[in-house]
Amino acid sequence: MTAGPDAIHAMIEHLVRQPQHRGQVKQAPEELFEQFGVPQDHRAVLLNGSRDEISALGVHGNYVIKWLIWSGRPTMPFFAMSHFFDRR
Amino acid sequence: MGQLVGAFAMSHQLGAPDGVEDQAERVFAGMKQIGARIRALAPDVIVVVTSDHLNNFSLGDPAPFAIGTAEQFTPLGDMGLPQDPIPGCADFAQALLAFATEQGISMAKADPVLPDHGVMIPLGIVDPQRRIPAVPLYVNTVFYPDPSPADCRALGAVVRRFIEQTELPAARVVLLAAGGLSHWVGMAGEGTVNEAWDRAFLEDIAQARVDHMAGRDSADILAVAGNGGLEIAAWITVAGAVPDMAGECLFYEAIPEWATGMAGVEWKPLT
Repeated sequence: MTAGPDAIHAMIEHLVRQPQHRGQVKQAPEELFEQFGVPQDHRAVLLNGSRDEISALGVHGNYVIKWLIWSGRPTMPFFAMSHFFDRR
Repeated sequence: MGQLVGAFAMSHQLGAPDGVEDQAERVFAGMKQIGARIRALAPDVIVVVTSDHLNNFSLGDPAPFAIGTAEQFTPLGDMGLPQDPIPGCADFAQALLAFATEQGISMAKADPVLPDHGVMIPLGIVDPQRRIPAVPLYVNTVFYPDPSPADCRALGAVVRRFIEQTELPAARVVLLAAGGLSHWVGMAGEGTVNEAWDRAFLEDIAQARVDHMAGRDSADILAVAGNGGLEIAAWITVAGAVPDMAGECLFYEAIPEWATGMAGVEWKPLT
């Protein structure tokens, strides 16, 4: 793992453990970036970059997915699990 | 003495049915078929061999192998999955952990753990009533390059020996591998399915080519089947537990819209 994404990984891991803070991703991302020391040149990518651009920073794929979901930019369409689970 | 009464594998994903309705139904029917077969075996415990998705583990503290030892688990509820508790099998899990450690396997205790979809999609379909005790056995492929396919095969062999020597009352055991096949998660290539690679792996399962599976290289898997393709480690673990069995493929669908190949297998004794 490169040093670059370590701060991003720490930030996303925090959000995994503290789901009540995920609203900050949309509402106050700069506060999160400051809290975890995310490098300046990574911030714009996190806010506006594509899946592949975020991945290119060295961010773990599972964390890319989580970040994009919390940012309102999911890579896969949402669906109702009940479509399947109601017919088990 | 314990008894391994069944060994199965299935993908641990589901996706939006829109535009792939027929494939989605075939996959779901196959998953339910596996569930019916497992329930018919009346197991005392289902060992779900799967990978977590960094919902319970940390990149800073890698745990390629880990086991949930709780009496009961509350699912994470990711992907909108139900969070009703599921029964664990603490005595079995703790004894397996101790046995594996004695056998030289480095295995962490995952406690507390909130099983994510890697456990709960397959288990939720296999046991909708949440009555059968389950033990999540994590083969965490998110900590690439570990564990290697060879390590997974060795783990499977240890699990089999444990089952056959245990005197615990939870004696009838089903192994259920969950994960795979080819898919790229959160990286370039997401939405690609390498159907030829998927089918070649399923043929390895069908022909009981455990040596070949265990001889695969994680870097090669990553290159041609994606980071999610590494989840075949769970299947290799179960294959390592049943080298005397061959896998019958119950369903396979390449579904790029779900960003993965979807399959289900039941292992049966070699004839």
